[in-house]
Amino acid sequence: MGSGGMVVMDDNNCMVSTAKFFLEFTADESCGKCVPCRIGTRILLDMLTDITEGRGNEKDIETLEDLSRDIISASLCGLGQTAPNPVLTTIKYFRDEYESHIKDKWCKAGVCRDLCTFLIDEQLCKGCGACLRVCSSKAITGEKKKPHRIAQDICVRCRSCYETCKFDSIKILPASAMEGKTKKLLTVNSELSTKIW
Amino acid sequence: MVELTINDKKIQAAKGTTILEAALKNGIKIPNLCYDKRLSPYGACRLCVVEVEGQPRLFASCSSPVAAGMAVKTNTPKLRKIRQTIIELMLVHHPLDCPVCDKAGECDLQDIAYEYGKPEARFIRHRKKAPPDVRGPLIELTSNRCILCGKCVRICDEYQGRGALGLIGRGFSTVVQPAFGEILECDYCGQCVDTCPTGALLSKPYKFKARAWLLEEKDTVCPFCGCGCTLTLGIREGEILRSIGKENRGVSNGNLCGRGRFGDEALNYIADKLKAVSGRYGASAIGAIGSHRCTNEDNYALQKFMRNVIGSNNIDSSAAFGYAVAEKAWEKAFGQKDHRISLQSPLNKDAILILESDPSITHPVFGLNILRAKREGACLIVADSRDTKLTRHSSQWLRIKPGTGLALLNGIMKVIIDKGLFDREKASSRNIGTGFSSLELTLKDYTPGVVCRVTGLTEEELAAAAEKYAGAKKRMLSVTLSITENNKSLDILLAAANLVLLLGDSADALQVPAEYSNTFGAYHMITQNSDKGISEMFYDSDSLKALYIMGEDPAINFPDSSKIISRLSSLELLVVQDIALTETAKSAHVVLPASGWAEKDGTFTNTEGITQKIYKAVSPTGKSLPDWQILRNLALTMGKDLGFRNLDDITKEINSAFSLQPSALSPQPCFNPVHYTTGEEPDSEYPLTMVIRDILQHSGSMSTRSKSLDLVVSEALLEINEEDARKYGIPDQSHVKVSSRQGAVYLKAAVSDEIPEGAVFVSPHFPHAKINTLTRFSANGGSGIIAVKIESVK
Repeated sequence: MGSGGMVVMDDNNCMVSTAKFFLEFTADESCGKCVPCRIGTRILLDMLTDITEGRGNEKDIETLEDLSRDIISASLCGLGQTAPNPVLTTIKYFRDEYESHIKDKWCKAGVCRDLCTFLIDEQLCKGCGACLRVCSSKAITGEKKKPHRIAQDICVRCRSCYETCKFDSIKILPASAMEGKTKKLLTVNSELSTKIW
Repeated sequence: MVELTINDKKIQAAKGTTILEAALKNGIKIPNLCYDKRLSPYGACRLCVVEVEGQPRLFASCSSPVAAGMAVKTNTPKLRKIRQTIIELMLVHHPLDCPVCDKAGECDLQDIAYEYGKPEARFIRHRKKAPPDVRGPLIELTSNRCILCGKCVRICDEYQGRGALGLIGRGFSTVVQPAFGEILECDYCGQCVDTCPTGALLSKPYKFKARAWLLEEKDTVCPFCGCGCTLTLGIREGEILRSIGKENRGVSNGNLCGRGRFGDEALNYIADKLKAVSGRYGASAIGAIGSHRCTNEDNYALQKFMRNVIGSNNIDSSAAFGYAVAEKAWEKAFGQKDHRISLQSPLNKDAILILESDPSITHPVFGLNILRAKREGACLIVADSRDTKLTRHSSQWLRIKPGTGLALLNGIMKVIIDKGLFDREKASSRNIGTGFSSLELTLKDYTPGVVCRVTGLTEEELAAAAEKYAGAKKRMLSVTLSITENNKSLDILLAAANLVLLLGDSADALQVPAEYSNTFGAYHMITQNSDKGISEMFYDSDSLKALYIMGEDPAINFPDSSKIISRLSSLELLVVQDIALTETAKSAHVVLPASGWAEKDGTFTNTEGITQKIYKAVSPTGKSLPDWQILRNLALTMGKDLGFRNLDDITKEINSAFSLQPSALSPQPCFNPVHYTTGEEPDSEYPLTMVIRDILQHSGSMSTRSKSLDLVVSEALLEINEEDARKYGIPDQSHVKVSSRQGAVYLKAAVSDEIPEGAVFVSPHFPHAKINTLTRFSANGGSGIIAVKIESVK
């Protein structure tokens, strides 16, 4: 990643957000002397931000790759010459994540809050109440031993319930999954989640 | 030398040159925005990247030195692609306000975007919204348009040595600004404006004046100094809208200073103002003053400028106080013009009468000849109140009271007439003079008794002097007359001429030297035939609205400073063209720096009427120009040509226009009887008479700017007799307040036994002493003896 260091991550990480994180650092650290690094890294960061916030468009991956290569070739110093590496490597190995961010508006890791919806699969939920207890915004309701529900207009998509649930009953769906349906106290059945998954 | 190939072309380049320089030298174009040959390599814009064979990375050609065998490609598809991206990135936040940007049409960014950019933009964001900084007087800074090439910052710091601009902040939010975001205060050289590749730095005076492509460009030489920079003037419909420096043109190679860049302002301003004054009040409301310090060519250019461009005949010089008075006397007494002396004239004379003058100080070589004549047997009679070198060497010293020389002359004539020491037949014949009878009548009152009471001499002294002078076979009478001497005037010259005519001598028995190195020349170049002279321009309240002063400092040198200064400040336009910031220049609307005498070629005409060439000995200081060149440029600005391009042209014109030979008018000698009039008589309130006298070390006020001369005498001293010093309680070297009815000044006292009792002497040279605060103006030359009082300052 960038400096050549190795970072180990699991599937709970969104690769677009990871690239964005590195670009935040390099765009901030750019001294501003040469054009490709000063403006290029800023543009890369803006594009990644757009993607993670659901404003990505189909040409973005291509543009990111192209711009990244130009920045690497044209920059004056090592910072600019390596700054776009996280973008290029994440696109290289996790292109599908970029695509799902852009096309499906779906951050499968649930990191990009604008691109995900947390739902409880009624068939898997045992009603243990663990998620209810960790939810800091009190978005989850439900009686013991009965399937719980997440109130979408309260949920801040912090992933706490997802990480707590021992039964994999919490599913991450694209933000658009519930479009057109009432968003209040929604649950989802396995059928639907499998279909989308 | 190193051999390399660029785009398959074999080229030679000196070791250490950059790839970009080598390419440009060989006609290979590589786009760039942050390169300026005056500056060290920077490598920020990255547009000049090139491919070098065998190297994985791209090289910024502006900062990579050439190496032997290097194979460089400057225009591959890869490079074109990268340049496109870079331009695209620059344009991401560069506002596309070209329609209202003065730079449009000559904007490097625009040109490069046109040539290398691509039509569509992938990134549309980050338009900066900082408001333009228009607070500075000449330069405005629109940071939105800035691409942060850093050229302005670097040229200001690295090249101009000023460092007024900096890159403030870092990364994306960097801006070019003066320190702490304050108002740009610098040399206003405008180098940053010319080097800026975008419209971020613009000239304020030129703002919204014209589109670059509508300007007609003409190269000219900057009028402001000796550098002779090539200015590229932007002209539209006959009006100069701006001047810029262009790379690879002329001696300056694109460099200019504020005067050159914004200085057309000064000439334009003067031109506009002169036109306005002339339009409103007529050309006669404009006057000019030339100078004995300037060459004949300068003075000639000034009068030609006034007469041909302005259409005004109001022109004069400080000779009005000295040599012009002598000329007037000459015409009246002898019917001759172009009075000149001979420095050799004292030699072979039998009697020499010097009247209240010290030529050994004012005209040292002339003075030496007087002393030589005395050694060779001449009788030297010196009438002076002050003990000088000449009085010490004199045969007879007539220690008269200050300012009574005229009474002495009349007394001498009376003695001569009474004792019949002259040829009455000859004196009353029309060949020698007319009006002898009226002279006799006038002199009736100047009996030895009266004269001796006025002058303080004894009757024996007077009679002896008259007899010795009249009895000599070959006589010479000499008086000096200048603005800096207040005890003599036209009348004394007329009286001296009467004596010459009475004794049947020819006009050259009277020797009145012109005061400074080029007083004679300046007078002949400009003062002749003028409408309003200094007396009308300054002392008669009149309608003069604009004044052009070249090489003169009336505020210090002319009598009655307060009147002069109020006159100067009432003008609508005062232009002072001088070699230093004089007192007068301090109240000027425009000051134009001129070259000093050793900084230019030209001619001076001395008191003998001999024209001598002076040569440029040193390079002109800083940014000055010879006076005539400034005038020529001003005339050009006003749309007229003075008709000369170089010094030789002027010399030719002068030679054909003036023949500096004594006029061939048939001489009409004539007695002009004059009465002795007292100046300001000392009274109980102002008990002392003040005499202004040159001292040896200085000449005019300019020499006081010489450090070495000032080491000798650095102050205007008030010289005072020991008795008076005791009487008024003034110790040597103490400060005294000297007051006249005109004003007061503070001087340091020097007690001296050379000074007669009842009089104080001051030198006129030191501007800071402001002696002329005390003086009054007298149209007859000199300012008259001034009555003063002195007080010790504790």
